[in-house]
Amino acid sequence: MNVLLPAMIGLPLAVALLLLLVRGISDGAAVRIATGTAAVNLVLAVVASVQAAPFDRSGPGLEVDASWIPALGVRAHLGMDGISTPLVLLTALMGLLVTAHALRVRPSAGRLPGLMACFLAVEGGALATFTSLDLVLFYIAFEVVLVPMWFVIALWGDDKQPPRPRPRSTPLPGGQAARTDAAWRFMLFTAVGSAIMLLGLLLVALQTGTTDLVVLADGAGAGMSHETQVLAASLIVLGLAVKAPMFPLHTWLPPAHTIAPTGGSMLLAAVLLKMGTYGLVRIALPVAPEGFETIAPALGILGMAGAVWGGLACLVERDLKRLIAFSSVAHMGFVLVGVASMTPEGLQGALFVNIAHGLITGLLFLVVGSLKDRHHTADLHVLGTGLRDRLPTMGWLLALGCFAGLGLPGLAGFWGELLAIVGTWGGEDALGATARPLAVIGVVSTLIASAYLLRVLWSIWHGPREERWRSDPDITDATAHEVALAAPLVVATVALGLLPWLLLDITGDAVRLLLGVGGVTP
Amino acid sequence: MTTTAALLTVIIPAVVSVLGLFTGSRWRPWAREWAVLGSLTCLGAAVLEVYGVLADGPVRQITLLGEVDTGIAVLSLDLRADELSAFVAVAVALVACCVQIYSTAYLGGEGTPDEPLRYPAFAATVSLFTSAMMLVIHAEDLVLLLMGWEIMGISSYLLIGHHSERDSARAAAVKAFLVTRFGDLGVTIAVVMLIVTARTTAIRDLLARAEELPQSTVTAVALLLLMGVAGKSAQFPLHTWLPDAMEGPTPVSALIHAATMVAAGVFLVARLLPLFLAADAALTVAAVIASITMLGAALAALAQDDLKRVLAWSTISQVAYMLAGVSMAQAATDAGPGVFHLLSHAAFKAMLFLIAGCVTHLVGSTLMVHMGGLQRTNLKLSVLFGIGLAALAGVPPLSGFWSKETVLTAAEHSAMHGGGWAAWLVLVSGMLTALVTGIYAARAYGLVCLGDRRPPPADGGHGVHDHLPSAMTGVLYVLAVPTVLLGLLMVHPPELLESAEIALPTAALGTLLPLAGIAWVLHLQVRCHRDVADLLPGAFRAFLRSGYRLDDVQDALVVRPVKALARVVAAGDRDVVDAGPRGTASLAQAGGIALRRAQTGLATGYVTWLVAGALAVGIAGVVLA
Repeated sequence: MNVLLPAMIGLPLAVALLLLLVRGISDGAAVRIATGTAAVNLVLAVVASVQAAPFDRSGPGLEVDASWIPALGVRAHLGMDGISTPLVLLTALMGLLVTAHALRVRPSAGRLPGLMACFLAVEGGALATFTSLDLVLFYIAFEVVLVPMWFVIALWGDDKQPPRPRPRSTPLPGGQAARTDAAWRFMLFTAVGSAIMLLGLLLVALQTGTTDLVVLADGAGAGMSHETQVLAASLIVLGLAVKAPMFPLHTWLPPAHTIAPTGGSMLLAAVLLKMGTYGLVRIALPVAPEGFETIAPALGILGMAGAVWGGLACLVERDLKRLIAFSSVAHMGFVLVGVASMTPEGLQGALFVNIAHGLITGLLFLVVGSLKDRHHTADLHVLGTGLRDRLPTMGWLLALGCFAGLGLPGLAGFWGELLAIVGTWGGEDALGATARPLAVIGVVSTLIASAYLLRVLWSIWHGPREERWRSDPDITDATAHEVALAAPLVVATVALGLLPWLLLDITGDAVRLLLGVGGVTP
Repeated sequence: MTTTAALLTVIIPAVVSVLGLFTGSRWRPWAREWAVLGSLTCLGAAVLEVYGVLADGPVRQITLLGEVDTGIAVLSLDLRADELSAFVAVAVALVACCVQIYSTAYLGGEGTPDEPLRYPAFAATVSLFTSAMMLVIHAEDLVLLLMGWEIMGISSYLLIGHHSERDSARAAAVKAFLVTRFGDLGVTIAVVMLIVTARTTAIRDLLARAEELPQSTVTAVALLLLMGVAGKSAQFPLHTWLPDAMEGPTPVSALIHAATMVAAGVFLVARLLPLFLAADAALTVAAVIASITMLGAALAALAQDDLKRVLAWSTISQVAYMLAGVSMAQAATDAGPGVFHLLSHAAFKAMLFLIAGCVTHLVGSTLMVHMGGLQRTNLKLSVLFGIGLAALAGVPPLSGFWSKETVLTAAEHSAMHGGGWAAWLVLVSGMLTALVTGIYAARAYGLVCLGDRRPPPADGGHGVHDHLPSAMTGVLYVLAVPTVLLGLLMVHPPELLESAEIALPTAALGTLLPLAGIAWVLHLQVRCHRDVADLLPGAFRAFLRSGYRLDDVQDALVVRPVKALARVVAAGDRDVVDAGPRGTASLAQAGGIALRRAQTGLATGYVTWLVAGALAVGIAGVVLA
């Protein structure tokens, strides 16, 4: 039995437990322990990825298959293939970045051992989600992530957010109420989503008599009637769509992102949202393909609706963290439509957007979090203009993040969106008559993305220096620590933009196998 | 050799720009040397490429970024080197080089904290821009071309917004990017269609298979590409960004908004000419757009008060000539006239803009009311300015004359040989434009060079200087050489330009019209001391000056509706979409409170519930049985 995957999952979970149980660990020691653990885990993840290669064979690499709950026929079945590998690497990288971020930057509230334990638990749970090949194990890993994330928002979140009364609209709460609202919203939405997904998973397990994902994927829906498949796919997709998040189930995300500390926002964007879309590709599509095909048009329409809706909301949003959250809704729309197209290129695009969005939004939250730490606000109007001259390094990082976010060719954001649109355009088998209109809407939504991200740069990066911060000694340019954290994200964004095959070659064959259109490229 | 040279033209400026943007303060003092050296090397590589292509023929495939397996098609992100790319590369590299040298003086120094000159970032962005343009002209794959195309767009955003502390500059930058990106939506959809339908975006495959593809696809693709062309090349109705882009520093205007970026659209049509030939409708649309744009922009140029805006509108008009030239093509080898005008325009327009920068440097303003008498104060500069304007107006034997006449001849040839009404439209519009061009060029010369020196702007403007640094004047002579002599290419035309011919009757008319215009305007100005634009009725002049008020149309049709929609969405997100979850939460809370009432803690209460429950179950059992 290969111990690499269990070690990669177990290590952060064990250290998290240790940090919670052992009393009297100082803040500094906790952060150093957590960073060390995350660094070791990144090495493990890289080794595992190398060993799991090549990805052109059927079946996962590094498989672990042990009996776990014999009475239910549930097995501890883990493995890595081309679909999970990029996400495992992204998760491990983000785990290291968010723990290392705490080496120098303290969140505004709460002590660090607990926060570090939560971060590591999220990392471990996410890694388990991305490598599990059993429905029950997947569900448990999925749930494991929710609770620590809830704590991150509820205990370490920002409780000084000013309330936002609005003349002709429902006001946004502020302060302690905002934090409570965000945490509970996160918990309720995702817990309800998980419960719905569980129903779908149980339905599949009862009808087919197995919970093993490899067996289920090979069967491609065998043993389930068409109606059962539709019901199962609907339940699973609905549950996962809450996490993705899909319009109109997205309203938990903006508050969660706004309130969470910088590291929490980075993890939310780069890891948690990906669990939803990964589930679509890993479970919903292969397990009940017929059912998935039936609901694909609805999924595609809601995905693109989210892309337009999120983009338009960004055009008038004032809080930068909220704005990036809405832009996540827009970007995840591309993932949804790519998966719904059920074409290799659409799926490739969806998986590419997943990774690119994780890197880019991670970078944006890092920069915006650093801005918020300095200015104690993320309000575009209060932050004021002239960041380019006031804090040049920070300004350029923000500009790069925005350029990548608007899908500029040459940076990572471009390829995923292009392929998702290509897949949608050619995805008439699954999407029917909606395929081409959805593709055109997708292209138009990239223009909206340009508009709102240039608005951000117009509001704070360009323009004369804001006077109010001129004499504030706390406001300094990016530290070497922050630049070091941003560097891997910047490098990866540029590398994937120029050399997209770095990622596409990993996912390509796995996607073809998943759709049953043959393995190696002819 | 050709392969290496082509690769170097792309890679050298890219490396220079990355190093310039990301190196720390230790290397800042070297930013100038670094930028100039990089652009000189790039020019050297481009010249070598021309030499290699002429000697050894084109190279069709040069590996750059590897193969991208999308699942439906394998895209090879390769370069190619042929006469078209090599000649345009020399033009781009030459202008970029001149601009880099010029900027060391124009933007040298550190500026003030509130108005920083940001020279290192500027030089690095110009290098990035050069690299992107080189990528466009060397791309062998349409997706790779799109990459260069958009990176060029973002570079121009950065350069237009260079003086971003000015509101007008940051607004112009956003406008330029969004309007061109609107056009690029077309290019993106075209690329998507080609990937799905043709399963390739390799340019050689597309050109070879243009006839085999379904007619509807080819027509749609060509029209969609034309949308991007109109955006990038500032053609009606997507030209609105270019006059505003004059907010960028003058060297930027010379580089981007005259010589290179706006030419990229025309370049794309020339590159994919067989594809456009397979779609008649697209070429007809291109001819109509070009006809409208050339005359409309020339008239708008006539009414401007700002020297840079005159030049900006003239760029729009001249690029329309290029587009008209390629749209008159009847065979795959017919790109000659358009490309020839592209090359000569690059030389004389870059020179004109750089001279405008020199004049601004001396006068402290870009408004022509503050200029005048340059002939007396700086004869050399005024002679150079005269040469540039004469080339623009198409006065023989300067470069602009030859290239413009080849375009008009192509139109005449097409009109006579079944080109239909579109060709006649181009011909008539081209002749009228030639007349108007002569008029506005002479007007600009008269206002800037003749008459008396006028008082500087009251607020001091951008600062008045007494002499011009040699870095700024030197490059003008360099650009003057091709401006005067490029016509010599007609003696021994390379294969690329073989289709560029001049027919005598057309050329005679096309020369007499601008000469007449020039003579009339100079007569008015010298003898009667009247500005020819004053002859226009006031309201009409204001209408022309505002660019036919198309900005207002754009604002009313696009900007304001989108903003209103965005406000509705933002409110709807809280009030409608989120009402469901909030309602559920309130309902659950209310339910909890109601149920808590039941938990009274009194045994009698519970027994009552128990009995009621038992009764209910019993009744239900009886009924259901």
